[in-house]
Amino acid sequence: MDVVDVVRWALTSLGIFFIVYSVLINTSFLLITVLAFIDFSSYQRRLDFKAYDEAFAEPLTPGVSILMPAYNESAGIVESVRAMTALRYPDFEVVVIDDGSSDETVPLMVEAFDMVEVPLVVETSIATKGEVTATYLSRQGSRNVLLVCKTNGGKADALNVGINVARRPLVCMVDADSLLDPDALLHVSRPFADDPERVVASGGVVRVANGSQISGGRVARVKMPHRWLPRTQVVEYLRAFMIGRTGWSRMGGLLIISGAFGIFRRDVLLELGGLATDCIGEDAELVVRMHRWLGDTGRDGRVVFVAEPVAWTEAPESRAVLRKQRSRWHRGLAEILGKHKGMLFRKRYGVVGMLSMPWFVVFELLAPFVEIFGVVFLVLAVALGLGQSIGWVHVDVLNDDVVWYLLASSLLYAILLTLSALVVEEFSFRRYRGARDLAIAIWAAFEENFGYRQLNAWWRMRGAIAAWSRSHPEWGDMQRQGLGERRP
Amino acid sequence: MSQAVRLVFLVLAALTVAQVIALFVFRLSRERSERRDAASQAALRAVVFTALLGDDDESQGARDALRARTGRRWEEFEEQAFTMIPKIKGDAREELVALLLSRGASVRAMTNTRARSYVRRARGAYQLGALGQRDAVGALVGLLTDHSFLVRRLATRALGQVGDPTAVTAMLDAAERDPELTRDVTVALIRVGLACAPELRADLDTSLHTPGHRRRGSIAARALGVIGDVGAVPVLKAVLDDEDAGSLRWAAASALGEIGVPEAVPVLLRVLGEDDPSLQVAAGRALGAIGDPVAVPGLARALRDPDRDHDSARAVAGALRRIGGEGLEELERSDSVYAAEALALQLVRQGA
Repeated sequence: MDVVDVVRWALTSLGIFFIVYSVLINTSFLLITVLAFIDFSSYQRRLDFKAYDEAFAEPLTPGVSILMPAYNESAGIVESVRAMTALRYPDFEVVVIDDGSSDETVPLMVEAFDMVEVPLVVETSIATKGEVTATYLSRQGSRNVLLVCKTNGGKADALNVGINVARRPLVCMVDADSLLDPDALLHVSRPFADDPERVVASGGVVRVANGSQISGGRVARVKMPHRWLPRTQVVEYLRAFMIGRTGWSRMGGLLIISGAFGIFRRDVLLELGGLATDCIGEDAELVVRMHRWLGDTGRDGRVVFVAEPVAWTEAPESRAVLRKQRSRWHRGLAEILGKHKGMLFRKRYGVVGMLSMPWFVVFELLAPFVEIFGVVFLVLAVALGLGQSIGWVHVDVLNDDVVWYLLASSLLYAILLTLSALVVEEFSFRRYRGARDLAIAIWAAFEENFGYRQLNAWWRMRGAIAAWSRSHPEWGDMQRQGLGERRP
Repeated sequence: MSQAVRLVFLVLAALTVAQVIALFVFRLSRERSERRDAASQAALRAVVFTALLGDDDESQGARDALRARTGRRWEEFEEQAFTMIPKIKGDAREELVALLLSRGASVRAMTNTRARSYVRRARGAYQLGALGQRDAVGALVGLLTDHSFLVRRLATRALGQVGDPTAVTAMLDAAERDPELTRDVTVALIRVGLACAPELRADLDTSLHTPGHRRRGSIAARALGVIGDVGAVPVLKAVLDDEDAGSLRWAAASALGEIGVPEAVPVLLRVLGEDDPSLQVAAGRALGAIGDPVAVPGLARALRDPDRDHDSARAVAGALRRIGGEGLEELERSDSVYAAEALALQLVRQGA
């Protein structure tokens, strides 16, 4: 075997590896999509019988404390809290935890909600870094708005204080800039009432609000954004978060609940010691730790995902912000999977240990590495092909078919998959209306694969490397446009 | 490019194009049909409201118009009527049900419960519940063991709507088999109301002496509490007296609070002194709900207990606040931080 043969063998083997990887990742996602479709269908049928309308009036609906950590959120905090207080739910309180803001967050809250300082006793079950300096209670309406002022300790620390302060059996964690649909709480808390002995956590769908018409802290009219990055993220959220998490939940292997909208049993949170303050992605880490706790203690617990309740969030519109976000997300994933690697392939952790975590390692954590090397491989293959066609390269080291198969399995198959996600959305919730928005979504399903995916893979790869090299995390503020009154 | 590669590309491209076309066709056609349906439903709803709420002449005319509907037009009305029934009450509801029964809706619903499709069986259960006819109880009880969870849930809810106490044991059995029906069974029992109280008391008594019956016992206790069955007080007190009853005691304490009889105060004060924090919380809240000043000295002693955990101390202080009068005086005398919190909350409630 000469050098050319060795190179040919190596390149062909590499190409086949990329093809097999692409087929496996896309096919696994297709199966998840099918499971999600089955789940959506039965969910829609349940809704046909209006059980949720009855649930509102029932005396057994468990109380919920909505925790909203806030740090220098004076621009939108009042509107966000007001929208929360207007949620349709029989028994809830809104707990705003000010994490040592240096702006007008606290005075604005006190004035807007006619708050008075009360000496609330703050439980210390969960150790916190920041110290509670004051607690306020609103004198308006049903007096269910609390403001807790604490010294700065970070988002996870603020949430831990919120868990300590919460006075209801369920705790809902919501980002201060998330917008909830009016019935979101009713839907997402339902699994706890249905199966109070087993359900320990429930997550709801998070969708992209960019481009939609927002009024009174609500998404009044759902519209597709026109700009490149947000419109691509709409289809990405749909495929990865809504479809992906529903499919995993259907299998009993839901690994992640978004911090932007998740609800938990408070007693379980206290037993777990709250959120970890030493890692990025504390919300995801909490759910993994919850699975670990369930497995270690032999409890029959469930973490479920409900596709209908919707929290709307503002997706990054600039590459710089998106880079930070994706890098942080992937760094968080790498840290969590590293921290809990002991759960891998352990039967006692059920589907999570045997299937979800291995899948996340192979097809989430390592995916950006494979993607980047796959792109390099494709560029090299195309260069070799061009070199041959113009006579600069005189040896045939790569079979053309390998390149074509790779393109088909990684690009065409991925487009097909995203379109399948759109089909599932179309047959289920159909939040976007009109042919124009559909055309934008379909276009985004195509364009996502040319530039966005590769950039994302690059950022995610750097995030994972940063986790493994234990470099200082790039915190930075998430620069947002704000989800105030907005028309598309 | 080889033949095989071409074939793969062709198949993937064809599937892609097919999905895009399907998306557009589905969206445009569904939006058009939704607009059409919305218009026809609005018109139909207006006729139904006239039939139920209009003046005598108008109402009779509208009812005749509804009865004159046949085929697909009657089915549209029936569908509309079944979505309206849970939202209306009183005479209007009875008249709507009578209108449906006069055209055989009950028989069709019963037929649906025997269908092979689980969606139709679920619809049948829902319709029987909306019609509220007692002769449907047997069929609905049969559906409690259906292999589809949706059917089991709707049958449970329907039994609550029908309100026949003979189904109590079957519903508790269903909750015993299927934890996800816990809420539905509890709500259904509450809807049946005082009529089912004797069966619930008997079941709670049996659960107390049967290991592994904690869930059904808790459901029975909660339902008895919400129903407000004073006759259940002896059995609920017996549950509290049994130290081996575990979580059943929490439900019993809460139920005694909901029923609100002062004779439960001594037993609640006694369990307030036990070591189980969840039981302490339930007992504290129950004492506050009963609101009898007799409990004040016992609650004051509990408030002074330095080993009491956060939720329990808060529940005790809250109970003193809810009792008012002597309870508030006791809070003012106390140096507990929970007393200060309860007093501050009282001021906020008074609008101070």
